[in-house]
Amino acid sequence: MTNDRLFEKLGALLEVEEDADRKHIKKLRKVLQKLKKSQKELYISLDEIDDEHERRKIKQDIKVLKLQRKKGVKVYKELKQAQAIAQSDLQ
Amino acid sequence: MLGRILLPSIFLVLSYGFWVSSNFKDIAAGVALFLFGMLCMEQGFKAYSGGTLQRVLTSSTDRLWKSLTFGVVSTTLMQSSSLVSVITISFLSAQLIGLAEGIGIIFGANLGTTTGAWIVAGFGLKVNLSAYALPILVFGVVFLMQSSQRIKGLGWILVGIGFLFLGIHYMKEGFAAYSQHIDLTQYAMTGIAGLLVFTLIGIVATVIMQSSHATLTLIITALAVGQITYENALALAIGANVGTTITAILGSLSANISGKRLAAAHLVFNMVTGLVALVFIQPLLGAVDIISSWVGIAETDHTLKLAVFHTLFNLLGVLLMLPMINTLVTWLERRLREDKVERDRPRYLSEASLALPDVALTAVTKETQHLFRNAFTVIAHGISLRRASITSDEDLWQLVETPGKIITLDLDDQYARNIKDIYSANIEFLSRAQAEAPREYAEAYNALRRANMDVVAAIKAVKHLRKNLLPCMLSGNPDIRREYNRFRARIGVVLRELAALRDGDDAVVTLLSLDQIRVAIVDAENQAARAVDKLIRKGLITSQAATSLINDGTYVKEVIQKLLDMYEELHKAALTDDDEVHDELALEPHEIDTIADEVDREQAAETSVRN
Repeated sequence: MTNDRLFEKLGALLEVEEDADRKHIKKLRKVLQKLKKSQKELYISLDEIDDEHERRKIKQDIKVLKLQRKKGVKVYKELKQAQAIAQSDLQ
Repeated sequence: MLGRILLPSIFLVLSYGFWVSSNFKDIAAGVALFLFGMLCMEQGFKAYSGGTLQRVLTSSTDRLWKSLTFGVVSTTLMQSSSLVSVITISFLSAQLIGLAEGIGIIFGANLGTTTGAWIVAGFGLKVNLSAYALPILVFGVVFLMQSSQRIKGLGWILVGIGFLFLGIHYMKEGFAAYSQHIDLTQYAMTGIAGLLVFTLIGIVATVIMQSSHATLTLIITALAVGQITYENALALAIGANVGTTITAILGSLSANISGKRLAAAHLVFNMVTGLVALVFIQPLLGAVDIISSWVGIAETDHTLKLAVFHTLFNLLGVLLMLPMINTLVTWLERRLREDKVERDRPRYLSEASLALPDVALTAVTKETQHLFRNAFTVIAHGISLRRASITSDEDLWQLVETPGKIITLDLDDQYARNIKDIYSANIEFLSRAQAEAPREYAEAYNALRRANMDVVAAIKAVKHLRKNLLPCMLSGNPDIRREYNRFRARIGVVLRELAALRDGDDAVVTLLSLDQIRVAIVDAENQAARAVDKLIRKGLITSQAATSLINDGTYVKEVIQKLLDMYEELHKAALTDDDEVHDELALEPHEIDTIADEVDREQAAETSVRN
C-alpha cells in the first residue's frame, strides 16, 4: 500500500469517528434542551400548586432533571474539549 | 392428504420424463436452475430489505399512487412479485402499513412482474445467456465469500442472476432439441375449451413451481421454438397470473388477519384480471396487434406480443380495480373478521417477518407493548383497581381509601387468557428471529426478551401480594387497611406514570424520566417503612401483622421494579448501538436515594416552619 493510500484510509477512518462524535454532541444537546424545558415547566407548576404531596413530587422531579443536566453538561464540555484538541492536532 | 399424494406424483412424473427423454431433463433442469436462481436473488435482496426498505416503504406508501409505484418499482428491480408480496404481508402484519396501501403495493407488483416477460422475450431469447451466466456466477461466489452482509447480499443476487440465465439457457436448449423430435403443438387446443384447459394448466404449473416468472419463462421459451401455439400461450399466461397468488396465500397462513386480508385481495385481483382477460380475449388480442405495430414488434414475433398481452391485461386489471380499492378494503374487513376468542393472541407477529430483522424487531416490540397493555389490566385488577381509574386524573391516594367493592378475579385464569399465549409466542419468535438476524440485533432482542420476562415476573409478584392484600383491605384495623391501600396506590401510581410515558417521542428522554419515577418510589418506600415502624412502636399492629406488611412490601417493590425494568428494556431495544446519551445522563441508585432524602428533609423543614 502506498503512503498516499494509507493516509487516505486513515483520513476516512478519522472522519467516521468525527462524524460519530458530532452526532453524539448533537444528540446530547437536543436531550439537554428537552430536559431544560421540562425543568422550566416544573418550576412554573411549583409556583402554582399548594398541595403538599404534589409539591413534594415536583421538587423531586426538578432535582432529578437538575442532576441529569449537570451530568450531561459535564459530558458535553468533555466532548467539545476533545473535539477541539483533535482539530488542533490535525492542524 | 393432497400433499402426501402430490409430491410422490411429481417425483414419478419427473423420473419417467428423465428416463424417456434427455430433452425433458434439460427443460426440467432449466426450470430447477431458474427457481434456484430466484431463491438466491430473494436471499440477496433480503440483505437490503431491512432498515432501508422499511424507511422507503413507510415514506412511500402514504398515498395510493405511491404504494402502486413502490410495488411496480420494487418488483421490477427484484424480479419477484412473490418476495414483494411476502414482504408486504410481513409489514402489514406488523402494522407498519395499512391494508389499502398493502393492496396498492400488490397491484403494483402485478404490473412490475410483467417486466420479467419483456426481459426474457426481448433479451433472454436473443442473446446467448450461458456465455454471461458463468462469469456472473464466478463473481457472485467471490462476493459470497466476503464477510460484509451487504456484499454477501450482492453475491447472492449475482449468483441468482447467473442461475436464472443458465436456467433460461437450458429451457431454450431443451425445447429447441425437443422440436426436432416431437411436435407438442399436436396437443394444441383451440376455442373456448383450449382457453380454459390451458389456463388451468398455467394455474397448476405455477402452483407447483410457486413462481409465475418461471412459468412465463417456460411458456416464452416453448413459444419461441413453436412448441406451443400463440393462443395457448396466452391462456397459459393468464393461468400463471392466477396461480401466482398461491405464494401470498401460503405466506398469509401464519400471518394475522391483516395478512390474510391482503392475500385475499391478491387472489381477488388476479381472479378478476384473469376473468376479464378470458372474457375479452379477442378485443385484447386486437389491442396487442395495434400496440405491437406501434412499437415496431414484428407480426410474427409472438414472444414479444405475449409480453405485450401480459402487460396489457395486468394494466387493465389495475385500472379496473384501482377505483374499487376502498370498497375492496371494506368488503374484506367485513368478510374476514378476527375470530372472537377466549384467549388473547399475538397480533403483530408473522412468519414472513422473521426473515427481515428490522420488521421482526418492530413486530416483537409492538407485541411486547401489547403484552404490557394486557398485563396493565391484570395487575390493576389484581390490586383491585379499575384500569380507567388508573388512567384518569383521580387522586389515587384518595381513591384507594374510599371503601369499594373488591374486584374478584381468578388471576391464573386471567394469566392464561391474556398473557400466556402472547408471552409464549414472543419468546419463541425472539429465539427464531435472533437465530436469523445479524449479530448487531442481538442486544435489542435480548432486551425485549428480558422485558417480556419482567412483565410475567410482575404479574407473579401481584399473585403473591393478593393473598394478604384482599383480606387486609377489609380488615377491621384501620392502620392495616391504610397500609395495604397504600401498597395499592404505590403500584397504581407507577402504572399511571408508565401509561403516561408511553407516548413519549424521544426514547432517551422517555428513559431518563424513569429516574423521576424511581425517586418517587424510593420516597414512598421510606415513608412506608417509617409508618410500619411507628405502628409497631405504638403497638397499633401485632408483630405478625407487621412482618406480613414487611413481606408484602417486598412484593410491592418487586412488582414496581419489574414494571420499571420492563419499560426500560422495551425502550432500550429502540435505541441504536451508538446511543450513549442515556447511560451518560441516567442517575445511579445512590443519586436517586440522595435526592429522595434531600426532598424528604426539605419538606420536613418546610412543614415544621409552617407549623
